[in-house]
Amino acid sequence: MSRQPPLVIDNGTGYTKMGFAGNSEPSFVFPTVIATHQSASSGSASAASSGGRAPPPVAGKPSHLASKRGIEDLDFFIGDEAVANSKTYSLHYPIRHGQIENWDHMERFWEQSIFKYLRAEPEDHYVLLTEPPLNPPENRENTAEIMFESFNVQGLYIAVQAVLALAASWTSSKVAERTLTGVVIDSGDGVTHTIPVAEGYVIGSSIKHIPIAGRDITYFVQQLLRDRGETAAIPPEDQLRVAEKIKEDYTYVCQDIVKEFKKYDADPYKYFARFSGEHSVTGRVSGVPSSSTDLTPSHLLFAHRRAQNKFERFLANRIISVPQKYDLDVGYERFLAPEIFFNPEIYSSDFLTPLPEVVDTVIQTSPIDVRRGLYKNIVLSGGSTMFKDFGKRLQRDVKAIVDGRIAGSEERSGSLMKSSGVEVNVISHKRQRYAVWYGGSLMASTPEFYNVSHSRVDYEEYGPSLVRRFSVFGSAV
Amino acid sequence: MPAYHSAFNGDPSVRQVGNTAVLPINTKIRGPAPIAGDPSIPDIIEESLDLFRANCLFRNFEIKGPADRLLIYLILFISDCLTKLAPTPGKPSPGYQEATKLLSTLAVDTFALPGDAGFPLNSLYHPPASRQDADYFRSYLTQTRSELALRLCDRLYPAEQTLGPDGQPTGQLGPRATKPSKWWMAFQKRR
Amino acid sequence: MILLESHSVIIHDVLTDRFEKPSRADIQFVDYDNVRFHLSTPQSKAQVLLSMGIQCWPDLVKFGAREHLQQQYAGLLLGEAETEPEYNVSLLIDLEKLPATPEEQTELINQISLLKATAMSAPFLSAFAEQATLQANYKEPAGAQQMDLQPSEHKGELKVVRYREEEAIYIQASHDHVTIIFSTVFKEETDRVYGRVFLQEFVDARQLQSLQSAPQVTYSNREPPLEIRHIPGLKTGEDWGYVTFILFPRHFANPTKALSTINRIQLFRDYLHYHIKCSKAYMHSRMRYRVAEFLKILNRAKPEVAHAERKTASGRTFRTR
Repeated sequence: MSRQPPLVIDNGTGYTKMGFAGNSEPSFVFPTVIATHQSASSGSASAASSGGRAPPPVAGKPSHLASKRGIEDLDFFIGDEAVANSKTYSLHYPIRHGQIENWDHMERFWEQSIFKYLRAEPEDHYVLLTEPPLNPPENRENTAEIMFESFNVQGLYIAVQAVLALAASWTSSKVAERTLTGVVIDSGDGVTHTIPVAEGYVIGSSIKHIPIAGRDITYFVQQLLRDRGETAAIPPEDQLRVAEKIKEDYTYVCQDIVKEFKKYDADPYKYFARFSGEHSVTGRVSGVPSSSTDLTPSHLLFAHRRAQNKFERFLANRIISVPQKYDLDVGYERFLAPEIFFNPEIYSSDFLTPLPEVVDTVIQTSPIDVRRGLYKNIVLSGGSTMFKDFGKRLQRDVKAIVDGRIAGSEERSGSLMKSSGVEVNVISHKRQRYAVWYGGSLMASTPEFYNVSHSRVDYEEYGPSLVRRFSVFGSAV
Repeated sequence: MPAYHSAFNGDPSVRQVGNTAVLPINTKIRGPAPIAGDPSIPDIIEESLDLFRANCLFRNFEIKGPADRLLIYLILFISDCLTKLAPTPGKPSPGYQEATKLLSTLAVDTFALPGDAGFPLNSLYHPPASRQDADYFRSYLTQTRSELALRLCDRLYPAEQTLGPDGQPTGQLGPRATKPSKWWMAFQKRR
Repeated sequence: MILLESHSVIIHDVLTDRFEKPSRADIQFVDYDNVRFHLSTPQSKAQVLLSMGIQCWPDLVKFGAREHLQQQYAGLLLGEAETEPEYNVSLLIDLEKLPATPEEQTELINQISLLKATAMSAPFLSAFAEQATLQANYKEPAGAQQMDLQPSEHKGELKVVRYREEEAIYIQASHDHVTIIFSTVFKEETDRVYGRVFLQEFVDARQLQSLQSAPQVTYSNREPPLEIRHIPGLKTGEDWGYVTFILFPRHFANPTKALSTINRIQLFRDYLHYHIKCSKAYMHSRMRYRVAEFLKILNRAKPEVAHAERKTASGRTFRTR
């Protein structure tokens, strides 16, 4: 019998990406959220979140029949369905800051992900899960316990997200050699991490977090629209979604703000775009750019998010009345929005370090012998790095910092020492959005995967502490 | 690379009042300002109009030279002008003619000099050294402000391009817009 | 979610997506019981090829699966020669020749996403048909003297579907009922215990008034039931369980009912294993709750640290850091 493909599940704080190894994109992407039915007897949701766990519903006296027994533990939804049912159920986010917080919910989340969505019998499959950098070993053990004991999986591999993102970048044509050394810039919805990885090992002490990510960009777009008075036309409940849509469909990274302003002044018809939407309550949310401008497909970089599509379809299927249309102009936010990565000042007053500087600091605090390798391989991952020319700008800015430093030290040495220069490379590729998942899929489809992952037999021999041992994957490749 | 600085910072030959530069400008308005030699080279007014939108996004500005001080002063003035033109409840934004008038008045209105009470950034600006200097500086600024107000109005009320029958711009300029461009007004609330 | 759904969510989602906007695809995925799918666009974006490989295909073919599929997916099913290598069935969906209305499209998508269920339903359908003929030919035994008639005369052929490596479904039609026997294996001891309790409950539940019309279910551990005992090579180990369903004609009286019965019953094994896992998850959450409670008690039981002030000879106090 041919071996069944391993399951690749990447549970992120915001979204869960899952599918089968060997595919180029995840089969399912939905919010990591679980909607449970909270009956009065089973404690309040607030108790669960405040550390004390709400007791699971207690089965009635098993007098004799199944009907008396509670099935509350099966009455829940995950992902998009959970969001759709948020009126009657209470939502929980089992993962916070990348780490699993509520194991009860997570176990049930996996239950449904595997059985309902992937439709796989876990006993027949190997599983690849991801973990954030600096995941405590206890969490790995818990994960292994659930996977082996609840789901009886054949084998398990828990990979660090950053390492997978590095592996995903091997698809880029720019990458000459397949190394597991590099800096990963992982920007999702909530937070951006810059993680240095050397030979497959994360350099934990140098990781930096940037509190600016996708959601902030959306807020910033909304703020700009509001400043200009565009929001008057948008119904308040849609504002955030419209801002998100504009962010995904129109924005790009410019090389210089002032020059960009001038370009817009000189030729407004080329750059200003029109966005038209419809009232979401009465009609379909349309994100079709109907601009008078020559918007090229490259401006419409962002593939529609699958979930959103589904939602639109859902709405499209039930148009009740004549939709109210509204139009608004999209202007400077097209390049100003992603600019907050490079000039956080314009958005936030607490965090002021530009991304290129953070990247530089991260590399400078890493061991000196890997710095060259890190500069050479700066890898982007996650949806918020998808802006057009993001990589180009980052490379230019980091290069400027590095060159400045080299010039400075050359001067201080009295021009006696000449540096051969440091190569700075920012790698962006087309799998960037789900880079972590893709890396997982790539690795799990190699035959080597079965050698490095922990098998069921090993687990029975050693117990959960098995997963504390970390074998780096692909270092021999 | 936060914020943008004036290109005139490095010029040592410029006269200074206090620690603010007095830069040559292109203007037809009478006053004591030195006239820029070449009208095709953008002067400080052009520069502040260009940098206004970018710089007013930034919260901090590191002053790198005397010209920067003038730049900031002018940017603040632009911001004042926009506030003046902003529609208030019951009173829509003025048209081009009216706006020009309004801003010209604002430009020649009495204003505080560095060192006077009420000047916004007194900690960063040195007051003029003497009474003479102060008078000179005041008239210089008045002149610059008037010129700036004129040019700002030109930018705020762009001539709309006439659309050809096919809906494409023909390149000919039509009448001026009746309302200040929202692409500018959006920045009024900043800083 | 108590019952598992019969359709494949991936097929459903991908097709809904592609129907709106054709684009390239090359996706491999699975379904329960070693079923492999491959969805691809080999020639052009508008030609979606969906192939399915089922382990028990040789068994299914014997019971008319191919004909059944042909009937269900007329116009889509590719002939045996054109079927993608390594797979058993291929459907070719031409996105340029879709039905016009959205309703029909949704209908088509739903139908395609039931591909596996449809293929698996063939032996059941043939058993139902067999039962009907047997019933028609069956004459009420006139009296006790005819009781010595060979019982096998009234029984149809025993159909065996080896749907998994070691597990199989046995279907046998009789003149007034159809017997379906699942054999299943529990790889782990815990699972076996859970499975036994669960199946016992399953049997018990039928005694409830409202569930009287449900099919009769019996469960036996180790011992295969009488109907299939004659089959050689049956496993009788500790890990083996046999579940017998007896379906009466009322359970498949009309086609819709028959279809829903089939869809439920063919997922029985997965249903069982799903619920074992759910029960375990439930137990785990109870355990975690207990542990948290006990920890609370332990924390309460910690003796307060005596906070005696210590002084030096000169009378100065220490500060404990």
